[in-house]
Amino acid sequence: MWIRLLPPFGDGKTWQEIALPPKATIKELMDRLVEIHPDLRPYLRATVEETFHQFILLRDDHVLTANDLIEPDDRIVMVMPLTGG
Amino acid sequence: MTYGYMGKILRVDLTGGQVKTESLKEEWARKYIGGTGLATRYLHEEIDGSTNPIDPKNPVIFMTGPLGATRSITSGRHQVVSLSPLTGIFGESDCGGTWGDQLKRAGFDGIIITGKSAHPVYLWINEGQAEIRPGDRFWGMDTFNLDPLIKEETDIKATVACIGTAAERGALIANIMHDGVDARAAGRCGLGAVMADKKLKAVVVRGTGKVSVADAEGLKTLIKAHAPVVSDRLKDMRTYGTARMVQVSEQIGSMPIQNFKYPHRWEEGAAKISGPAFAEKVILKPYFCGGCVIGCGNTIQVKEGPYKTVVGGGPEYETINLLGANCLVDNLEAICLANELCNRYGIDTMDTGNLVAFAMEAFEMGLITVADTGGVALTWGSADAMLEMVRMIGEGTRIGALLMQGLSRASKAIGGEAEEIAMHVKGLSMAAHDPRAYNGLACSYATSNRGAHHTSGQTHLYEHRLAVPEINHKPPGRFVVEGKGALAALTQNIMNVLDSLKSCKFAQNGGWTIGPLAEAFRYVTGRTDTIEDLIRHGERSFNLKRLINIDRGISRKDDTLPKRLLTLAKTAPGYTPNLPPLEVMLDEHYRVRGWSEEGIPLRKTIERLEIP
Repeated sequence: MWIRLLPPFGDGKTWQEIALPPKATIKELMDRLVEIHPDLRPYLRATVEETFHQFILLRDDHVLTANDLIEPDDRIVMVMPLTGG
Repeated sequence: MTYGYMGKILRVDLTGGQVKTESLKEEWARKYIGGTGLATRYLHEEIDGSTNPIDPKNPVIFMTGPLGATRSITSGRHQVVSLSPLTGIFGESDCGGTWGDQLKRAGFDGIIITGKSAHPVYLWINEGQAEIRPGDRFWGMDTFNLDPLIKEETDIKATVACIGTAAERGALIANIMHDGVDARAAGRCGLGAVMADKKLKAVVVRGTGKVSVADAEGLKTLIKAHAPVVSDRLKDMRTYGTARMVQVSEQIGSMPIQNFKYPHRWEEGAAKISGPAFAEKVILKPYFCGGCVIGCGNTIQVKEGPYKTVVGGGPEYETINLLGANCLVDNLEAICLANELCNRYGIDTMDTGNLVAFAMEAFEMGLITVADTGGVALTWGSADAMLEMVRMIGEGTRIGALLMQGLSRASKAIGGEAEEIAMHVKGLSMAAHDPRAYNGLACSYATSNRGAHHTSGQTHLYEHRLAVPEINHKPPGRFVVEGKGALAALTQNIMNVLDSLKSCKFAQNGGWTIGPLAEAFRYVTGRTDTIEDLIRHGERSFNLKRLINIDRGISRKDDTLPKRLLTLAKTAPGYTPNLPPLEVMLDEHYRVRGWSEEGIPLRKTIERLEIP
């Protein structure tokens, strides 16, 4: 799968390929991400749901939830969450 | 009722030059809580169907809530309620800062101001005493200049609510600014125009008293459990402000771009005006309202260049998107200066952003020409054109004299196709959340009692990501249709509770939702209202506002959205090309509310809610 980290998580421009098994969980993606980008570790919390208060993951305009699975051809954007305006 | 309330309302008659204190009506406080609910109940008593917004009889009401000035977090807020000169119907605005807490500490739950002074005046409230003072020397001052001078004349530790020069010039998008350069606004519905008509320049407050709390230890324990969670979940707001939401709004298709008509993605533009860009370039420190543990506001400065600003409150998400993206302006510094100009003039940044975008599109269509603008070419994306329009609107010059009357009046006066490109509901311009990205929000905007304002329901938050276990709510997803009419009603009722207690809506993201708030309410007041009771109080407030509007001719025909938002799908790559099926959602909404098919509350609904 491919991921793009918008600021402040990354430069917002680069798509980075991450190797994950088919139907990987969000937790597996997050674990792999912090291996590659240790500076993301402070954003992680005890649960995926709690972590999603620090950032969210988008597949197009679909906001991923803790139960979504990641497919090899997914292109996902990490961005700060919406909090209501 | 000794806990949570000061038990006093200050009543001011500017025609007779009289101030008097009266007891808070306890029965009303029991049914309407405080803030928006209680102020609406007082408004309903003061007016009748023939009262006009610009009428000495139309009161402007400032009301705090029972949680204010206690340890309850994020409750340093107050509500301003009146008939709106901008929309002609019920008007209200929620405001943060320090003013509400000081009013309570001065000994008052609220102020009801009627009448009209022959000369400019201001109201000085100091530790339980109040007087009307001559305000001639302050008339003509902008809000930033006024603040320190009026404190010199009263108390340097006072806090100031005031109107700017735009209201004096007759702007119907005039707001009520608070806290000087920190710039906390009661921005919506043109309530500054009511103060201007009354020749009331400012309300200055100093108070140091305490609010009695029924169970201080219980409240302390509750806050100790919740404050760290709220603070942690929203900690990035202290770094990036509400601008942290700019990029996600572009990503999920909720960003208003080019007067809501842009057919492409705007990722590069969004990045330039995003939270991280603000943090890198202009944010100096976070700003906290009274009792806040979030710090979503920020103090900024553009230190040099053509868009230089003073050190002061920076633009919020709504301002950034509406003066920026909605005008295709990606110049962050220019947006900061536009924000400062609006705050100094005392005009709503949201209305102004919509008006500039409207003017740019009207210029593109030939409905407005350089003859109307003094030679300024209103080109999409031009930061300088945007700023010139802000100045014209704030000063009421050239086409700005018409635009300062708001989108509805301006578009009607321009005629032709102008009304089709005027993005408002019931006369109030759109907030910066595109309802094509949220079906529930579409229904909420359409049925909001004050027009297109996002916090009237905050339905988008509930359909998109906020789970509220204590009411068994799980986010259904943005594009689901079934249940959204009901969800809009539920969230509107809940927002009426939050605006009555006076609690910040952002804190919901940290779990400071209706359940913990009910506990806080119990600890503060000693009342035993359940969550269901509170929501019923919110429903009562919402329906009373609806009845005030029905007296002014509002019905189903007005519960709609601009044509563009119902017919032009967003088809740029990555976006769901959704169009909100509004009529279906309205049917459900009316059914759930106990209204007729025309949107009129049924007799049994009015009786169930014990509405007078």
